[in-house]
Amino acid sequence: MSKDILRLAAILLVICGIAAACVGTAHDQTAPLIEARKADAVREGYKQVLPDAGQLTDEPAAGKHIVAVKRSETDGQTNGYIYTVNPDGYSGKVVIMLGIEYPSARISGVKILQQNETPGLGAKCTEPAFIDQFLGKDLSHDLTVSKNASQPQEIQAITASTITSKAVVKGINSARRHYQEHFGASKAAAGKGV
Amino acid sequence: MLPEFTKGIIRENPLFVQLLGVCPALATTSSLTNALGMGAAFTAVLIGSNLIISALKKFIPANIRIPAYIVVIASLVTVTEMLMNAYVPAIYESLGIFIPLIVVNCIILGRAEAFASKNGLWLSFQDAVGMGIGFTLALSAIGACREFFGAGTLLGHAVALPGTQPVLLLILPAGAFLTMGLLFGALNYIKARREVNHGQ
Repeated sequence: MSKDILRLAAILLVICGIAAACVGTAHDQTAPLIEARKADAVREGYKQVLPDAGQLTDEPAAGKHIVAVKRSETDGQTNGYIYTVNPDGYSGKVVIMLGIEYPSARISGVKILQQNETPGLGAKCTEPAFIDQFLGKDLSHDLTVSKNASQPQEIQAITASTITSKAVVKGINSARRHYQEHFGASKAAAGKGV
Repeated sequence: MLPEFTKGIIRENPLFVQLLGVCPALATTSSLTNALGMGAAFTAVLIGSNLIISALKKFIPANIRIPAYIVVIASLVTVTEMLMNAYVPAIYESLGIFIPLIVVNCIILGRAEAFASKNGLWLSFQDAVGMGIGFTLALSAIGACREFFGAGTLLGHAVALPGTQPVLLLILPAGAFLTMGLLFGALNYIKARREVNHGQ
């Protein structure tokens, strides 16, 4: 009996050993490729939200819902900022990346990086019909959510998903406030005045 | 003609007849695209696991067959996931969340236990392809119903009848149970009527 257990354990050990070796080999082979692809995807994301993105440097990120702030620079001139914000949606955080052109303070692109909203309802926040509304919006004032948007500062809510729509707008407004506070026109003018 | 291949498609359909793999079928049928993706990934893993287990059937003692099968299936799924992530990122992006789900798909363990461990390589391969097609067809039927009636699209293209409103409930989790239950009911009804007709 005890001998049999040892034999079975040995066979299982061999199977697990071979399986582990296969998984390990596959991991070693694919890990660098996967890493490179992820880095590419992140760079691609930056390009999507800020088409003119140049050299990117981290800025201190402070404030509600603000995860990261990056400053983009071309030929020594700041030409935009990329924000990552994570407001609370209907189920969990909605992680949004958005590009703001400098100094015009207009949105150059918005991308939903991660969301767990209701499929078919809130999950529509990733679709162009909703997300493209933000393109070119002037960020001198807060954006608002509306059931039938007509004003330039209004964003048309996704049908039956007001919470998700409001969450996305809230995240973008947090980025807006941070931008205006740290890099905004009034700030720059005040700096020049002194 | 190749009975081990054809049996899985209708007569012993893993989902509709054997009622196996209900959990992934509920989770991944919110659209036809997802259903097809899950079906394809599932079929690939089932073929691999049936072949490996059929090849190893003499080596694996009966007492420890279940842990051995699980190790084989889990490793196979992990390797498949890593390879897809590295070499076919586009497909990985759209199937990403379904691939780990395949480990807990009881059809794979079921076929290993019921078929591959008792049959040769060629028959196990036929069995895997047949079951894979059967499961993919079943998922597609549910996915197509839910996407068409729930979102008014098919494969992402709008095909809604004009003047109708999609029933959003169908693409929510509750809609998965409703659609699956109604399809099971319809199939059982057809089967029962057939049997009555044959009896007469």
